[in-house]
Amino acid sequence: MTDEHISFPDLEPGDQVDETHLKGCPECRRKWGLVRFLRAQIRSIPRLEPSPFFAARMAALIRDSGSPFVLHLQWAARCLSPVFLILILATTFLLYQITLDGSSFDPPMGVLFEEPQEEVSLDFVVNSLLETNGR
Amino acid sequence: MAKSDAELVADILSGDSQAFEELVRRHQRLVFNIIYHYLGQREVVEDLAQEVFLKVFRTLGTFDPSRPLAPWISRITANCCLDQLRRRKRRRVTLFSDLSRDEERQVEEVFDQSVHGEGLTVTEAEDSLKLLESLMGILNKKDRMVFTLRELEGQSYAEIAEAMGVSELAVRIRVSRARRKLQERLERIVYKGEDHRRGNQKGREAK
Repeated sequence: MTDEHISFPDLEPGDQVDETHLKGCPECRRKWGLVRFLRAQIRSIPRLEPSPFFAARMAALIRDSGSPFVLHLQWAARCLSPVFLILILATTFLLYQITLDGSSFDPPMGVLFEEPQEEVSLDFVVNSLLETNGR
Repeated sequence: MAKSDAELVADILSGDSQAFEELVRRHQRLVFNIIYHYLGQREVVEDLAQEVFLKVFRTLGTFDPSRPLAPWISRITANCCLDQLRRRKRRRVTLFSDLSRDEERQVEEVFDQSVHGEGLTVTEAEDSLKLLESLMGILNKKDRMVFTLRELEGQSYAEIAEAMGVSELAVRIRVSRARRKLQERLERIVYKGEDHRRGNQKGREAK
């Protein structure tokens, strides 16, 4: 027998109760009486049987209201959601590639703003350096 | 051979109203009894069940056919019941009143019979529900729903967790809390009466 009181709220209907503890513990015995009473009340609660025409009435109600557009829209959205996801991912990837590799997409207008470059020969560079060192 | 719930759902989505009738027939008992045991009023059951199945139909496109249908329907039913309770509160109608003195006396008597008499006797079936409803008035709405699904509908903790959209542990905690509160409430009613009777008896003996 354990000295600890039985935790009745955690007791499931099929669980075994420590009978030896119950015999020696008036408090648990009292609580056990309440639990059994509550369970008996719950067991005796009636269950409702729906009317035999309820399902047919529901189906007629749906038929009369017509097939709702929203229902088909939800269904279509659900079916097409993977396609949309793939499209979004593909577009994002493409945009990313474009910004990363900008050189392959030179804007044609850039030609207008190109500054004319002066041609610099090797001799000119060497002479300039010699001149500077000579000073 | 009977179609699976997932097949029925597919048929309904393709416009088959017969399939919807079959789906209602399959799950109507579950819906009716959750409403009845949660709200405790026979009069509102059919109207609310109709509301539940209309919601089921309108939102069927969002249902994931790879999951079981019953917990999904239980969830819609539970939400409709909670809405109904909210509406009633707004209209200041209390559904679950405290037990009157007469009702408390009735509980004491039934309890006395069951403990001191021959085995367990119970009140009439409808009275049991009335008594339990009154006791359950002390529970909050969600604890009450979890308790109803577990104790009255006999659903597993996993099914309730799926229906309520919470973890299994949360369901266990709620059920345990609800049981403890109900036991304490019943204890107060039953033993308060017993103490009162003992007091009267002592008074008579003293005279």
